[in-house]
Formats: sequence, structure tokens, C-alpha cells
Amino acid sequence: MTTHPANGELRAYLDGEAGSEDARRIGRHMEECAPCGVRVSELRSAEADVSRALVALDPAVDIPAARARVRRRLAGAGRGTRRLVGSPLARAALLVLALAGGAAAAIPGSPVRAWLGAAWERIAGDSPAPAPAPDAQEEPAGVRVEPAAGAVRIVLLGAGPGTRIRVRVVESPGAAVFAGPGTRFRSGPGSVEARLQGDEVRVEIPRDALRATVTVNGSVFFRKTAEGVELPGPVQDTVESEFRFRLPGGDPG
Amino acid sequence: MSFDDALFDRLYPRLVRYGWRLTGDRDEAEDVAQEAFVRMVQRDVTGSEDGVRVWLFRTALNVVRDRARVRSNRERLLEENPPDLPAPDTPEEVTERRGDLVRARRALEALDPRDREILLLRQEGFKYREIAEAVEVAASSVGTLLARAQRRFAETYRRLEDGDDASRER
Repeated sequence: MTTHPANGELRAYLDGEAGSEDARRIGRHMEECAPCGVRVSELRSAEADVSRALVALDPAVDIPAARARVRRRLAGAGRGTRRLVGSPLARAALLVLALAGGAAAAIPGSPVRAWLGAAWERIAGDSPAPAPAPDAQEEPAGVRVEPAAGAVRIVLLGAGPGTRIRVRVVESPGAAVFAGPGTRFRSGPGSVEARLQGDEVRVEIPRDALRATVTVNGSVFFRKTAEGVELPGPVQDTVESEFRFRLPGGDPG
Repeated sequence: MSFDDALFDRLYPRLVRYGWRLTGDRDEAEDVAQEAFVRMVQRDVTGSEDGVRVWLFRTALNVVRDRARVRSNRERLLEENPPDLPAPDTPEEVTERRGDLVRARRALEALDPRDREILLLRQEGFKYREIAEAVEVAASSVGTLLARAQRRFAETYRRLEDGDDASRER
């Protein structure tokens, strides 16, 4: 029998990361070694335990809000030098090309030199200024508040026919309302009032809030208490922790 | 590289998840992920999506490390700033889920920082050479470090689970 593979080799073998020679050697060994079979089971079990346990640490993420924040940060910032990332081979190949090109361009009368000169004139003469960062105002307007004594009150006014309202229970400690550009907000301790523009609204309710209500044009659509969640509004769909409402009328698309 | 919405939407949640698992602080995880994307655009990082993904995670990791150097230890952070919880339905589920989360967090905390980084990168689907590049270890040692990290994590988690079961029975 061949030498027992080390744990790291077995791990790499199981992950398909062993080199072809190592994989053949370990495979042959596994066919005849029961103790290593047990070790493989233990490695698999540990990996499965890690994956199962880490499910508890999988946060919900507000992508549009994050995107807007990154764009705002970029809006006033400049750019540095370009970096190429990827495989070392690709980088090495480009380096070789650059060196070869540089050497060829240094030779008087070289066609590479002529080509580079023409290209530089084109770049210097015609290239437009770098595009500005995308305008953050294209993103929905939004407001966040902290619960007051564990309570949150969201009041949405002026919702037109067909308006879609998504209420999501989130992990972050604050409540939030996002709606179309031009929406006017008033906020106070634990409350937001939004006079809506646009036909899409997103509301975030913190999981830790003891009480929360979302009222649309004077009617309660969503209520969260210690006992659970009630949905008196025209709920269309529920996906995990998100409750989707749609006001009657408007374009059904 | 200009700001790529599709790339952001694909990678940002993964970066936040990685950062949260790494630091135990949800706000910091979001901040670190955003910082990584800002640097990517500012430095005009370009290349294959796999290359950009590795670059982003490595940058996030460096930001986390830099911040950790000037911050007090994670135990205090965990006590003062309990992690966010998944949606509970009943008080029993609240207790149970909090238990899952705290156990997972403590099992991560029990790891050596480098082992934790490697385990979490693998959890995000990174290949060994990508992990090696991000964490700056030899690719040939990733299997060994990963096997050790997974075993220690699983042992700590089970021990915590057994402890909770025992205290419930009393």
C-alpha cells in the first residue's frame, strides 16, 4: 500500500484541486485503505457542518441603496491608473507584448514606431473626456429612521392606481422608505411620511422592531407586532421576508 | 473600469456576506464592500470577472485587516454590537436562531485569522489558487490550512451545540 496522504492532500483531492498525478495516486490509495476512507468521511462531514452553520450568517442586502451610496462616493472622486487583474499568464503575456512593442518602437523607421505615433495623435486629439460618474439622482429617493421605543410608523400618501409597494423585513436596525425621484419625505422619531412620486415604493422594517405599521392612503397594509405580521392590504405575493402589494387599477404590466 | 451595475449586483451581496462573517459587524461589512467597489472604479481595475472578483475580495480583506489593526478586539465588538438576526416567528425560534448565529460566530472567532479568511473564501467558491493569491499563502498549503480550519470550526460548533443542549436539559 502507498503512503497515507496527508489531510491537506485529501482535502485538495476532494475539492478537485489535486494535480493529476496526485489525484491518481490518492485515488489508488483510497481503493485499498479503509482508515483513509474514514478520514475522507470526517473531512466531508466537517465541510458540511461549516456550510450548514454559516447559513445563519447570511445577511439580506439592500443592493440599490448600496449602489447609490457607491455612486455618490464616486461622483466627486478622481481615477487612478488602470490595473489589469487576472491570471499571471495573461499579465505576463501582456508584459512581453509591451516590452516587445517598446523595443520595436525605439528603432527609428520601425513600422511599430509609426503606428504608435499615429495612434497617440488620435488618442490625444479625439478622445473624449472621461464620462462622469452616473448621476446619483437617478436612484429612488429614500429616508431612514430608527425605531422609537421599538416602534416604527410608515405613512405613504398619494399612491396612485397600480402602485407597487414592497415591504421587506430586514436585519438592519433602521426603517427606510424608498420611492421615485421627487417624493417628499417628513420624518420624526420612529416615523416617516412620504408623499409619493412614481409607482414603485420600497419599505424596510427592522426585524427587531416591536411594533410597525405601513399605512397607504389612510389604510393599514402591513402590521408587525410581537405576535407576528398581519397583511390587511392588497397583498400580491410574499417572498421570504418581503411582502408585495399592488394598488388596484393602473397598468397591470 | 466604469461602474458596472450587473457586476455590482452579483458581487456586492457576496462581499457583504464575506465581510460580515469575517468581522461580525454588519455595518462594517457593508462599508468595506463599498470601499472595495469604490477603489475598483477609482483604480480602473479591469480584467476577467474572476480576476476582478479575486481583486475585490482581496481588497476587502486588506481593508478589514487595516481597520482591525486600529480597533479593539472582536469579543468586545460582539458583546456591544450583537449581530443582526434572521426573521423569527416564535420566541422559541428566536432563541434557536440566535443560538445558531452566536454559535457560528463563535466558531469563526475560535479560528486563527488566516484560517478564518481561507475557510470563508472557500465558502464563497474560491479556487485554491485564488485563495492563495488573496491570502498570500502558497497554493500548495491551502488544502492543509482549509482542512484544519474546517475541522476546528466544526469541533467548536458541535461543542457549543452540546453545551446548549446540556443547559436546556438542566
